[in-house]
Amino acid sequence: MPDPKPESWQAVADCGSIPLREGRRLKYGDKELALFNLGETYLAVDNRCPHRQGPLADGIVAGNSVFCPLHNLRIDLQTGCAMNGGEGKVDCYPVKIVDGKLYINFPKSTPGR
Amino acid sequence: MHKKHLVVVGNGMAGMACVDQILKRKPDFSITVLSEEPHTNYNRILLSSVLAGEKTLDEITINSKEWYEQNNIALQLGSKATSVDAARKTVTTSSGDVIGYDKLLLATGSNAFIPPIKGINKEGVVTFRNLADTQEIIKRCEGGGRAVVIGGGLLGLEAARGLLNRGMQVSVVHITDRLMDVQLDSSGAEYLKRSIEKLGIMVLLNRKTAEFMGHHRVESVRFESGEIILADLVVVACGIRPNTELAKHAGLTVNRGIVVNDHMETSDPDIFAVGECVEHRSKVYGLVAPLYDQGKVLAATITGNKGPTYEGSTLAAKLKVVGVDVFSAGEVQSTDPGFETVCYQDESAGIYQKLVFRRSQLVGTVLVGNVVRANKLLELIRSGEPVGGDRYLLLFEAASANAISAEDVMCRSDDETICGCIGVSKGQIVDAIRKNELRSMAGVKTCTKASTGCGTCTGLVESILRAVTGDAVEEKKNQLCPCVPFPKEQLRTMIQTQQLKKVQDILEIYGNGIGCNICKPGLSFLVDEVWLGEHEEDRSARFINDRVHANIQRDGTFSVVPRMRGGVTTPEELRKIADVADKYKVRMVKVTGSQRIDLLGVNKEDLPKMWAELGMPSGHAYTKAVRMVKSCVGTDFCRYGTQNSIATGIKLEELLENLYTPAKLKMGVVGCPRNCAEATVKDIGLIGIEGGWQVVIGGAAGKRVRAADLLVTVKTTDEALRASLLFFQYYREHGEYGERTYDFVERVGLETVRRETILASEEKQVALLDRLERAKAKAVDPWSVETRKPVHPMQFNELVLPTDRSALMGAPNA
Repeated sequence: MPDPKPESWQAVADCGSIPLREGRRLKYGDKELALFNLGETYLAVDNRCPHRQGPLADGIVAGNSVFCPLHNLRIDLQTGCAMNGGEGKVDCYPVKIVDGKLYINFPKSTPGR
Repeated sequence: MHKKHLVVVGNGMAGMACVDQILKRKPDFSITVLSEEPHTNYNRILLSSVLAGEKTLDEITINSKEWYEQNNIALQLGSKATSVDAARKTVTTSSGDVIGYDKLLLATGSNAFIPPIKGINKEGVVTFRNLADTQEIIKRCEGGGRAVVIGGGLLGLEAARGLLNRGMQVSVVHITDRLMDVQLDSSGAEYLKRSIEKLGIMVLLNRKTAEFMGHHRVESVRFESGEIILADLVVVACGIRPNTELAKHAGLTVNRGIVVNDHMETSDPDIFAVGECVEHRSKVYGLVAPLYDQGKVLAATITGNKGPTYEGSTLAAKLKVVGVDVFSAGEVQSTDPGFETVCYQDESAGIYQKLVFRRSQLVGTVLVGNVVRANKLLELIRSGEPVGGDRYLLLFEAASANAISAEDVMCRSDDETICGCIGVSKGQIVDAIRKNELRSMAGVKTCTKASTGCGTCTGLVESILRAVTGDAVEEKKNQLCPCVPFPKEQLRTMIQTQQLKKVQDILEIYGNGIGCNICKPGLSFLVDEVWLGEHEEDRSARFINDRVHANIQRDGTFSVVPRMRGGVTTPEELRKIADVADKYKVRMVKVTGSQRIDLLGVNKEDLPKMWAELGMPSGHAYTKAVRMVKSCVGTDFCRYGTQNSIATGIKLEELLENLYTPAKLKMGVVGCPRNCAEATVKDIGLIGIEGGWQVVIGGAAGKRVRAADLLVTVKTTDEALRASLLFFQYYREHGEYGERTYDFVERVGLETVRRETILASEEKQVALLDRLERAKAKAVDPWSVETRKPVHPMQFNELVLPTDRSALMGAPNA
């Protein structure tokens, strides 16, 4: 059966570009992503906090979540949802690692550079 | 489409609980609430706690004005509904406004019953029903004297206890031969009477009040027997009557209360009623728990989801009088032949417990002196579950233990109601804790509203919280954070004895392995402080400001603040700052309140380059560390200066700069008591006086203003610096993370600070200064290192897509 969403994996960085338990910002077309190194895994979400657009890539990582550096809204990096009873959601992007490189699967409609 | 207008008459617990339920169903209503009382909605059950001085008005407020605003509810305070025209569908208010409605909700509650006693209108005779009554009673207690409470029911007894707390000499007068006669049997009432008398309250039974006597204000109370007792204040608590005036005039069917059916509809299809003003299946409820059940059903009906029905409530009552535990539920007057009772009494312990059974079902209970089993028994009564075996065991299991174990809580069924006031089940609480990762009672209260009514289920809710979170409950106890639930002093010891030098190691050994935005920076400070700078730095555990040595701004850019010791700079420095500001197109150059220059709107990537070009040390204006010393010009220039504040300020800054502290630390040095650099509102201040210095600590001009305390007055500058350093290191070692010196000094006390610093033994002082010196030796200006070699090659960079297209994989982008 053909994959309904054709894959569009884009190499974005070396694994070593992000320190352990930290995030880094990535601009891709008109998008701004935050990519996190959680040790076992890497996760990617939209960089801007749904609360006041704080840069999530600069937040403190706690397990699979991050605290926005501006007002501490906690975002679950696996679902993109706000935790602690907060409101809002950010988009998540699939990440895979091949030969020490990080690839992100962008939706097909996303404009490239 | 035009929204339907729902008008709610009454801003009490029933009305607002019902509105809360309606809002949950996201209705297509615009809502107006008419409140006769001039405040937002409060927890009426807790008025007795306000009277007793245990709670303040703020603490019993349920919904703030903001809540009404957020939910788009038009709240009209001090607006009494005077009539309803059901044909025209309008409500008229005391101010003459006529408000149209599509749906009308009557939540008018009850009024205090005022018995027709001669002299009832005399000054000093008050009812106890609302906040205004409570405030009047409190005011009348100011001079002390004799208080007489008419009515020995639930409310009367709570009022009596409150009056006692307010220093009054209190008597409770009751018309029948037993207190709380609605809820208790005669033995239970006798036990209660003894407990009440033990508190020092006089109980007068079988007294019918004939007259309140006195000229203008009440002076005494005369009973029908002719007996007279003195009274400076009379509180009438003779029960309540449903407030049905409005409904009667609107033509609704009204008996004792406004008659409603199982869907909470009145005789008019567009008018609904809820709460104490309602009569349902011939019953009127004067307690809070049924209101919430009614509210849920009503919310369904009014929002067009008619279906759920209200089938009446088992009445349960708990007396909220400190030291007198009374609980009663269901059938308690067990005189019918079909009833069997199981009793336990212990006269010297003041314990009386009774279970009432009909066939194999528990139908009622009275508990006096020990109410630990109250919730369990109530649940059993409500469920009607048959009870087999030794029925007396229902009273004794865990009855001696005041705290309910986590296992006991978790064994209970999910349907069991934990909070009877709001109607929250164990399952709902457990779900809310799991879903929202709640760690504190405050969180559980916000999410579920459990334990926000009378508060007697607090222990149970806490037990559930503890059971679900595995004891990681956040309490206002002395601990850094629930992630590492230990007091700071204990963590210090553990870090030392276990040789822990990394934040992540501490989290994994003593914490939840994950940490959060509170404990990670806190532990980062702690390992640095304990190991005097010889810890293993983990930037990921630091707040972004400490990862990039700059202050993050609201748009995600950063600010650059170079250190200018003592607030003194040079033309050369200013030129460099100006050049850098130009080159990097700084959006604003701002002179700060700390005598520094702030370059605002800087991109993270530009930080190392700017600092390299500036060649000035970091001003640490972004973190919990030594911020600055502010100074006046002192003897260098000022004609009033008595001390060299500039040189001393610069020296003090050099001695302490680059060191982290529990919270930010600001200093000031002034050359005379005119205090031009505001040393008296700094964490550490030196004030030059003729022939010496005053060293002051714990000052603040932040969230609050606090004048600094005088630590010591000394003759020489060296002595002044030494005293400052002693206090500085003592605070560094003993301050809680995030605790400013002004809170620290108040917490530990000025005398303790003096004893442990300037008055400590020479040995102790030398040890403090030695630790400070060692830590200082390891503390460096972060930019002196990172402009050359960042801690990570990507420390200040964002990710950039590879330009090499061969790096692409999978289907190439179209």
